[in-house]
Amino acid sequence: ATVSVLYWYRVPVMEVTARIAGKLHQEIQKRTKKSDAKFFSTTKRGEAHELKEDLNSGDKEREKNAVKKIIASMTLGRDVSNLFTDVVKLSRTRNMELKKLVYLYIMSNAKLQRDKAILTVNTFVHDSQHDNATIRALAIRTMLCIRVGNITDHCCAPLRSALSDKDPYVRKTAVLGVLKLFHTNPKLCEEQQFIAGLQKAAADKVASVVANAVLALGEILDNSNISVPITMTLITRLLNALPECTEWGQVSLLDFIARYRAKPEDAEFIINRTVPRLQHSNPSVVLSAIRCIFKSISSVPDDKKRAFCPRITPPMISLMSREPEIQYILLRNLEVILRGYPNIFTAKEIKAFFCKFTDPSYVKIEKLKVILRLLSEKNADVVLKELEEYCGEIDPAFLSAAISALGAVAIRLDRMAKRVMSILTNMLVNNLAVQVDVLSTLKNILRKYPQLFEDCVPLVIETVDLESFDNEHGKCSYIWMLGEFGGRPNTEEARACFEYYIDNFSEQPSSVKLIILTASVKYFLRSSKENECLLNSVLTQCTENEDDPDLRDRAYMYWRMLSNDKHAGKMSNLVIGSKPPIRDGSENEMDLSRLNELLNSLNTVAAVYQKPAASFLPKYGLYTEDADADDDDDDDEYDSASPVGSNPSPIAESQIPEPEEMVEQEVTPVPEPIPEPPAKSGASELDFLFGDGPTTVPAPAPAAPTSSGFLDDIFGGGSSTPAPAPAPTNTAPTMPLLLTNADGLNINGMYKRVGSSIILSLILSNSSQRVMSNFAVQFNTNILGLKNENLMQGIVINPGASAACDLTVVSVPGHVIPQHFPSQIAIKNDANVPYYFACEVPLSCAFRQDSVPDQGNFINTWKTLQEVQFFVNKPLHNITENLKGCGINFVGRHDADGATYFEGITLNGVKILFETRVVDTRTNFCVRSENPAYIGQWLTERVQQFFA
Amino acid sequence: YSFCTLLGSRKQTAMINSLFIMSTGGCIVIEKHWKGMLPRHVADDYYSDFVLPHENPKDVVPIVTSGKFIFAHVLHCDLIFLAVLQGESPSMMIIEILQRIVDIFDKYFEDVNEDTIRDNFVTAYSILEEVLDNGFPMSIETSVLKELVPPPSISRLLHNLRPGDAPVNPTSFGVESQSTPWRKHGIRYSNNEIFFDMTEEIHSIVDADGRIISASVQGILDCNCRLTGMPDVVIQLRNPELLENAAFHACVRKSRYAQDSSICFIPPDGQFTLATYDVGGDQQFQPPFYVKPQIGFGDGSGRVSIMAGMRGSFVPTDKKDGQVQDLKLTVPLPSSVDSCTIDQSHGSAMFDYSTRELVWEIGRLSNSKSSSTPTLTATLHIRSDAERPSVTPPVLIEYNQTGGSFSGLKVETVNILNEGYKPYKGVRTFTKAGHFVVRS
Repeated sequence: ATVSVLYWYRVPVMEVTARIAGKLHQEIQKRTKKSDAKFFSTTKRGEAHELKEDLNSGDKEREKNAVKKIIASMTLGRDVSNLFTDVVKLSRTRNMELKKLVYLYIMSNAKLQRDKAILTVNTFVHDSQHDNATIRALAIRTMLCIRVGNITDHCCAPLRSALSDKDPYVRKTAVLGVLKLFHTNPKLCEEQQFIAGLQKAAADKVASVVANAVLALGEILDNSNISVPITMTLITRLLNALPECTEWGQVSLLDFIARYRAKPEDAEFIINRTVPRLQHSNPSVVLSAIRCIFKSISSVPDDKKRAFCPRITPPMISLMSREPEIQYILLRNLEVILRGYPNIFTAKEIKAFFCKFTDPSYVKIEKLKVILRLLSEKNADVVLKELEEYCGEIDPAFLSAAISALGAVAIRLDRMAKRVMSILTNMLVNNLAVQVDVLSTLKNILRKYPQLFEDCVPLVIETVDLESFDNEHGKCSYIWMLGEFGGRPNTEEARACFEYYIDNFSEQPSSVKLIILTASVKYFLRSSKENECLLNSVLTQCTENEDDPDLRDRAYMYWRMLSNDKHAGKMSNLVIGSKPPIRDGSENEMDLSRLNELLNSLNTVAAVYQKPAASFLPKYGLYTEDADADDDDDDDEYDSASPVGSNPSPIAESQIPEPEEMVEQEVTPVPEPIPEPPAKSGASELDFLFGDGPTTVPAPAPAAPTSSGFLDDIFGGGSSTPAPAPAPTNTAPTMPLLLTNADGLNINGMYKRVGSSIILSLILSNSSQRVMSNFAVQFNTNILGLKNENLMQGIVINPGASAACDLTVVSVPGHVIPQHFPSQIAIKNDANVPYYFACEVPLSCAFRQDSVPDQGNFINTWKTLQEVQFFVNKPLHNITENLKGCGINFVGRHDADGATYFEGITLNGVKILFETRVVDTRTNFCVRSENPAYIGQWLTERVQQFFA
Repeated sequence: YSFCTLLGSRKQTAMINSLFIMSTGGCIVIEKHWKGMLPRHVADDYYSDFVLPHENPKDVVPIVTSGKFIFAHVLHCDLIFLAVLQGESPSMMIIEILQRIVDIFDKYFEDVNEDTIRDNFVTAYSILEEVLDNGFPMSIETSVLKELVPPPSISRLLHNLRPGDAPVNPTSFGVESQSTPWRKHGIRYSNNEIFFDMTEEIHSIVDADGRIISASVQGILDCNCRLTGMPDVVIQLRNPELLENAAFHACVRKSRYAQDSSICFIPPDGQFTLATYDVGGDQQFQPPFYVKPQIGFGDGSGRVSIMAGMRGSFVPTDKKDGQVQDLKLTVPLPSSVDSCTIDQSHGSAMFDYSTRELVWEIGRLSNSKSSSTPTLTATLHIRSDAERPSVTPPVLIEYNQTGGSFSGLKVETVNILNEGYKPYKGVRTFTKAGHFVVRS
């Protein structure tokens, strides 16, 4: 170790020094043993007294050592807050090191000694006027970290004077102090006009103050109703501050600049000023700059866009040789970028994403995804060769990803299919461990290129050893292939396989049973009649021995159709008809608005997770473990409905339905056990037979086929809907399903307007085996602040039954958190496990019915607000009446440019202004509001759903 | 492209709430909270939910969310640096901050591990206190930090032993100068010196036939600056056109670099990385040597044979001989390999049973054509109950090359403006293997 310290000395004399130093090092180590470690050993019970004495001794060294000891015990998790008064006394010291230690202690312990915390205020106020700027800054910093209610009030005055301190270091610290204050007590922060102080700081002449100011402003804007105009003047100022800032300051500035929606004429300017940041050695500066660029680049003409690419991509490639964690973040972000801008890399650059043996598994898998996104005709051969190489890897997760990537290559590029097929069949024979993945990939390839079956199906039948092959997914793929291609040349072998599975039918898991059933029918239809006994055996087993309604009903349906010769021909069409095309998952299956939202959130955790932030983040504010913490708004927690409100229990959390799983992780999203959707004829009539419902609504076994008239109905397209046995619980088919779970509680429901009140109408159905009672419901804070007025009382649901329940909801001011969207509702019953579901208020219920538009001020208000645009994909000519029904009132019309203006007030009192314009086949909406949360995704979805 | 700006981003910037440094065994070594205490079980739950299920902690995904928190971590040796966040934050920044904390600890404690952190917990705490404020990074520049938090006593002693070091000027403490936040005023040395280390790492994947699948050269220009006052350093490079896609330390004036490719800066005090770069141009990269492995498995046994030597076509880029040194080949063998009989012509070779790695340290590769080619043959004994391995492992390569940079890039002149003294200037160049893999 010593050598490395003295690494630079080149003169021999220095070497001598090094040797002396080395000896000294050893000597000191021997004597002190382990420098700070000694503090750990001495803190035992009963020593508090001794420490107290030391603290009051007046001897600097003793005091310092005592504080160190206390901090040592603190790190071990012991409660040392009982020494609070004695330690605080030392805070007046002039010794910087001691002062820092004392401050450190106060910061950690003030919360435990709320009443004594006030003792520290004087010191802080005193120190905040100290001559030394460092001490002033330190006092402000520590004071605001305390976050104890009665201290916060005393912070305001020192904080205000620090904001206009002559020393930039103090100003910079004070700006972050405002943010801390906001985090602890947003209301106080707003009342005391600190936001204006921040705006002033954003115009400071010192770059680091500006950077901190926009950091604070950004966080406050995101988490409150406060709005601050973001103008090009401000943006230009920030761009100018960029080069003078520290790297972290640059990140804050760039992130703030990315908020600005640049006009086309400014976009290029912003990009040009941002591009030099890509040369920074700090990857977070690079990624923030990239985010800024992609935010503005959409308004740049296409040819210039292309010109920017060679400047943007090399820095990203460079990051690929950094630590794996950094590579991972880049790759995840890159996947989002490539969805929007697939062509930014040159064909050669793909090599940077080739996997290395030493990469951690998570990096390799992300690299594979990026490689697939970059796959093109030009690089296909190189990619295929590379993927083939990965098939020799040991890591099973990566191996399986590599195999499905091969499948994706084949599905995307026709000419590669044959080669991929040969690689895969080779693996099938040589590597037993990957059989399941190979089979599933082969199956996907065959779905796209059925003509290739000869290359693989015979080999598959030959290779797979039925006795030892025991994987549900693998079996599904295998049997699917048998059903699809078994009827061709090698009938005998296929028949033997079928026989094997039919003999062992009852041991199979239900997904495999389903696929055996479908495959046998297909096999029968394709081969000769002599296989009838095989099919009969399956059908008998399914209808007589099986409890699974899915399986039983499907078997009945096949049987009915088969038993009627008239329909056998149609049946072939239906069962072995054409299939929907398979996709490789590379298309932009993410819808545009989500993609844009993700592009906007590049370099955030949301982009890494590829989910909107609201779907996994808690509410803003301090973490509290004790539910009765008095300085927190405890009404936001699920305190009555759920015991997990304030205690993060992983089990309960995991039951929150993931509302927006935005990215299909599977390369080939083809679930095996589902039979091919029937082709053309009679499809819609058959829907109820294939229905989505059976798992949630078990229908009683249908009666044996009675007449051919029934089948006529199925195929004939008659207008009457012949439900074989109406499901008793399915009384509200129009209400969307909100919740379904393994415990058997299903909830359908929606909001509706009844007179002047809003009702959440719910149908609770019980598909479990026990009686459910004692229901309670709780609305989490949400975007409109909705809360139920009446309780769910006296609801008892017997097994298989359902109950309706109407909840009157009102908007409660203290219940509004604009970021809490989708709105979450918790429900629990006697089982005492809370279930969470989301239900959104439709446009027709979201606005106040009684609002009167303020025509006089409309134009003036309009001009001052931020704007969001979206469109509905049809021309809405009677929009005025439609919106009036929702409580959004007509304000005026601009005949010259065809714009119509509306105004509405949401249930929680946020005014939203609309401008609509019919352009060709669609209707453009421009919406403005003082609160951006209400014109973002929430409103877009509401409007689009309403007009859908 | 046209809809990209329709929706404003909904973001909650909240930065790092707490940092836990824990061992890969799950024991919390140190914890630091910037925005209110989080209970320790948050970290313990993370450990049992995300780290434990993995056989190797290196495979744990760096960013996960669970319950109310976002967890981000980097792994360094046997320590997990875990940041806990409660709100949306720039993900790359969090990882980079953690990475920097690792680097700083590395510099302060010389070797970061559970013991060194425990031994220096007060320093560690003070560093964490200074590095972040409210979870947001502050002074992460080591030279500035060293003024705020004195290094632990032993290193400080060494520090003071160094000749020419002026005592720290206490009045400038903490108040950064505005135009150069990375350097404070009043630094004095009796011997002024500045050193540059140019290291180029070759990353390459070579297939079994010796064809290059991918290759890139990455350079790092490190600087150790021990100069008095506020010197303005100007570096001219030879072949600057090779320097592609350079990423500079914040102190470098990018406008000047864009103008005439000279690197011009007021340096931070002490050691820092001045620039990292990719070597560009259309140069076709060829490593100066070849490695030809043949690895095969039969039932119950296997065979590895490797040949290595200088390429005939290799022409040194510098007049000093570009000798390949410290050549070390590692073959990660399947876990079913029990033992190995090795026969090598050069260097030393061994089979490490614990990692199942066959390591062959060849050392120096001779340049002359007459000397014999290093070869290694090894017979592998595979556990009798194991299946025949289905994969062939690659060969991982490490080496150093003396004399000149691989690319031919060179620091030509170093000039100090703004100050009167004539410092000692030193430049060294190295070439070594980065991720270098030969597939078999």
